Amino acid sequence: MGYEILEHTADVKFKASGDSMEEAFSESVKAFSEIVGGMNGQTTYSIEVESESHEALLFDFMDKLIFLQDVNDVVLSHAEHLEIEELEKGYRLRADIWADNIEDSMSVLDVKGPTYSEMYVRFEDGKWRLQVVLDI
Amino acid sequence: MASSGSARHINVKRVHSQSFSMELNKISDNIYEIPQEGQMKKPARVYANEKLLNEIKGDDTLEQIKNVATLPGLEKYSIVMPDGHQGYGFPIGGVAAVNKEQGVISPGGIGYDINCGIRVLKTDLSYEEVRGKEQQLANILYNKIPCGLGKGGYIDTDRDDLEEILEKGAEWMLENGHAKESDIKRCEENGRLPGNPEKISEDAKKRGRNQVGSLGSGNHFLEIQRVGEIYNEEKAEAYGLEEDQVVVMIHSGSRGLGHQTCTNYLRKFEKEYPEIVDKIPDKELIYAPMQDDLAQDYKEAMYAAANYAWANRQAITQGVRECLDRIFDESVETELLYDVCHNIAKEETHEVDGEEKELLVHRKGATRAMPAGRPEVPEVYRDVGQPVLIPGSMGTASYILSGGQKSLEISFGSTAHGAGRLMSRSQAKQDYWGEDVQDELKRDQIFVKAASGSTIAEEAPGVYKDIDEVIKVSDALGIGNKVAKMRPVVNIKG
Repeated sequence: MGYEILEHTADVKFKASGDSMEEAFSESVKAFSEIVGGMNGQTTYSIEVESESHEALLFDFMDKLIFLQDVNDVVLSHAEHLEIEELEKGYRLRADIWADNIEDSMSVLDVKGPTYSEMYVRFEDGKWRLQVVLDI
Repeated sequence: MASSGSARHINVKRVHSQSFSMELNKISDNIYEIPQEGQMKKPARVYANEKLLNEIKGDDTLEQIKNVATLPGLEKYSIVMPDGHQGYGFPIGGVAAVNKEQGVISPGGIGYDINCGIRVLKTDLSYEEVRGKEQQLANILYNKIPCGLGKGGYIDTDRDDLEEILEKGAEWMLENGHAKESDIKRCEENGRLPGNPEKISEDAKKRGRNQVGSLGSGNHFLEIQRVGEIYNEEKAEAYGLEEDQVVVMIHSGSRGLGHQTCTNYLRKFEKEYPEIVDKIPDKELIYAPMQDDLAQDYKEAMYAAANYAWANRQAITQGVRECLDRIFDESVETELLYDVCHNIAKEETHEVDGEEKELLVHRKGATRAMPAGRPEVPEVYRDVGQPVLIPGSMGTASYILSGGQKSLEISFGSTAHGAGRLMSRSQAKQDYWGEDVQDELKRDQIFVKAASGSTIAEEAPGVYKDIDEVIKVSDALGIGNKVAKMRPVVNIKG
């Protein structure tokens, strides 16, 4: 369980892992938060994402996190109660995302979008592992 | 891989990287070509000198221009410019012209930041008049122009305004008192493309609501510069530039609204065309055939996002004007030199094998560079050629070129867009301290203000390619010719 920020020439890349897919996805929020300059989390937002595959779910999840920051003027902190449910066609993710308001003195990185570049979500060596490149 | 020899290929080199080797033929100085093979519809070209080519070989750029060459309806060849580096699907610095009827449109060929671009505002100030006021200028610009995330926009816009901005772009700014008539006339496309606000999602509109007149972060910046060397007196005069004149360069795009639009259509295309996803080498290269409704929807959405970007850069311009008025007691005259996109697809007519063709020219991290006489060049510059605005990195020179005659022949009227990154942000933070970089630049009379030291470290001059080399190639190829060089004075970033 954990995450790691990786080298990328133009943008940012990270990987995350966990005993369950839920845990790996939760870790990805911590990685995201470290990249943008997040804090402890004062308020929560409930989100829901539905997608056709594991990778599409991760892509849409990242998209949702970026959207959440942009429209609420907040910086993300971490996820709680993250659940992934298998549907007839695809997956549904629900989570509570903790965030803080952006103050004038704060410097928050503006993320443009998620990418499919080098993305994976897989079960390997007894753990769920994922990797994301974000366009900044 | 098979070699396809031709009499014109004067030198055959093989490039080896971690995962592939490929044939790369030197066509002439600064022009290299990967011959057509496999799924490629046309060859792929690299415009670079040996030094830049070696840097380009360091990542997947060459593989990516080969992938771009597989696009249906591609004309002549896929191209990467001298500042090229690896991107998503397309390389940054990529140009792909496809047939407007039989071709395809690819969001990856335009980029997440639709109509990311550069504008240069001329002033009647000389460098002498600015000296001693640099820190004051850095402070006021940084306070007035929102940078980074969550700081709002320079002008207030409600939902109705946003709809109109998406439709009218810079024209809305003029109608609402945020622009001068000459700002619009000196903007690519007069700051307005036929965009359709209805093709932009609600989510994208929510992201765009409060960001008109904001720089964003990453490599976006606002820079006060002084004109250094003039290379072409006649063109500099036509552009209204002289040595030691102070100008302002603005680098920003369509902000969250444009980014969300790209993301939305990538996913729409992915869901609509599973058979295309299966055959393309990289999902980010996803495209839609031009005759399909979805392709037209994306085109209209992309144009609407482009309109937003023009309104954004215009709003920042108004912010700059307010700051200059405050510091110099309303005595400064400003006039837009030009505003040019470097992430966009445009419908243009080009001659291909002696035949006039209607094309869709994707430019991703490449700048339009039309020579004198072309209808796309604003009337005031039609006899000298379109101004081409190329930023350097923080602390290094930027350039103004003019569209070169050769650009129509070899690059669909395009040239480079900047210096291009060489080093990752995390490596940059290990190699540089923001404060040291800032102090060093200050010793050279360059004042930098950013949200944090790490922003400065990430954008340190050493993490980019040598802009002088990039410009040398553009000039030598005759696709964009040197007019003037500008040196940074004050730089602010998100």
